[in-house]
Amino acid sequence: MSKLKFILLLFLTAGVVYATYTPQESDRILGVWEPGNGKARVKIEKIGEKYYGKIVWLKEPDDPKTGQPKLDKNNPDEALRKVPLKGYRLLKDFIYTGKDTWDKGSIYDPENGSTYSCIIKMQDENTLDIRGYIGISAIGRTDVWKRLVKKTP
Amino acid sequence: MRLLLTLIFLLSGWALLAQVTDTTKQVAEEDDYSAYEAVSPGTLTASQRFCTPKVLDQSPLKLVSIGYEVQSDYSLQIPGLAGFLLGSGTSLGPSHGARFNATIPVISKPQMLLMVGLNYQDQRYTIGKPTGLLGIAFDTVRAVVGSDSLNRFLQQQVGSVGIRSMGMNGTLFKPLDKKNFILMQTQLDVNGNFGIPTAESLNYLRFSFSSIWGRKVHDRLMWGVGISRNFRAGELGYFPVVLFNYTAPSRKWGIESLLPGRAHFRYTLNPRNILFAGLELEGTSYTLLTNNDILPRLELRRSELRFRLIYERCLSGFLWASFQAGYRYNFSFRFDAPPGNDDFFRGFTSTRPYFIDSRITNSFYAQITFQLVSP
Repeated sequence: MSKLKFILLLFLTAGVVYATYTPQESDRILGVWEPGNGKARVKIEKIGEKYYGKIVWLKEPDDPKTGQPKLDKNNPDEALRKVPLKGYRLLKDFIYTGKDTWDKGSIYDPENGSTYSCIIKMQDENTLDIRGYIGISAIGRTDVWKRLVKKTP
Repeated sequence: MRLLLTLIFLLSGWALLAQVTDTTKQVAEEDDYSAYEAVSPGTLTASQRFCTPKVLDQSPLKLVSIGYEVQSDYSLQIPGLAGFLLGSGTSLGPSHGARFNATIPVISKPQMLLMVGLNYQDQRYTIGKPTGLLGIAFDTVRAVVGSDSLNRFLQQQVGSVGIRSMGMNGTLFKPLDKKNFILMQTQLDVNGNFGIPTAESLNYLRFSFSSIWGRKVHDRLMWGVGISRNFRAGELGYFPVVLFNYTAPSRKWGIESLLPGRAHFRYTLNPRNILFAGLELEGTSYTLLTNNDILPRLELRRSELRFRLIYERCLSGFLWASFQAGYRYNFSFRFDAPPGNDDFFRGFTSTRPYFIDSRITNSFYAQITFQLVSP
């Protein structure tokens, strides 16, 4: 009987540890976030084992010149310049590497059409440090993103 | 019973964790994202947001740049007694030189941007022949009697190894809030006709500093005012400075200026091709070390106003090239004899004469630079 209890306890403990440190910890990044400039809102979601972020809201959704929804007109790939910015996936391929860090991904800057290597560190549950860089992390710029939640009526 | 309690306890803990996970689960696709708000505490309110150091479409920050410059022929003239003794003029050029700059952002966060950098620049001169019939005649006589000549003097001072400027710099951009910011720049240079191994050159460090308070009115306009201590006019000076960066609503053109150092009109063909037209005041004071015991230690007060066109182009990813051409208007090319190792502020009222009050004529120049730009 004591052997059965031990096996059950071991199994449950392993389950709790797995539940605590594997999917839940890495999925804390999921949700809607606002970059430091407040001009957009980005929804981070999980596809397979990787994390992606797409623009779901723009402070100025329309191009003042055309009156139409803003397009990704600075994209170096000419074929993508007519893709709407809203819905554009600007965070790509992030993998949770532990210690509140999502790494090995990239971030796209629609302002100039450049894509940078990127590392995301979670300062706290509601704050992300998003660092875009070239080559090594030291050569880059960090932006702070804040978590958003739906207003309660 | 104990087993049952243990199971309930563990399962309830698991359920609690599952609830925590639920708070971060994906939001339904059809959500109205304008109806979202920041989670408190730790939320940035509008007044806590920080302004960024650039306006929209401003040219990218250069992390590393390597360039080369050539200048067309020009001549040097010396008026007065010094000209009579040494020779009234000689041809110079074409001169050329390499330029290198590296800037690393040490801290790059919304609350603060701190960058440190290294800079190197050299200028090589080709000392030519005396100009004018009188100059040629005097030079011939001096050669016969074995006295010093302007050509020999220039060869000693700047011709043999050229002049160079090496230093390190720091830039701090500190946003105070969404609108106000402080910009500070400091630079330590050794400039002269010597190379990196010449340790004594460290005795002649030149220190420059600027401090600006500014406002970022909106994403397309920022301005600031402050004061600067620098050597851009060729010798130590204190100047009021005005920062003005602007991008038009069309986002096709703008202005990037930090007067009196530089001012450029910018035309954006597209984010990867940018044209500039404007001017820059470039200069510093160079310590001249020679084995000539007769001469005092001299400083070359070199400064020039460059009217120029620049075309910046993204070659690939973060690699850019800059093609620059313009007209170099001589502001100062004088030889000065400071009283000691320390430099002095001549200002507008000093009557201290220059050792040789020489002038150089203006010339055309061209420069090509390859740059690694910042995110």
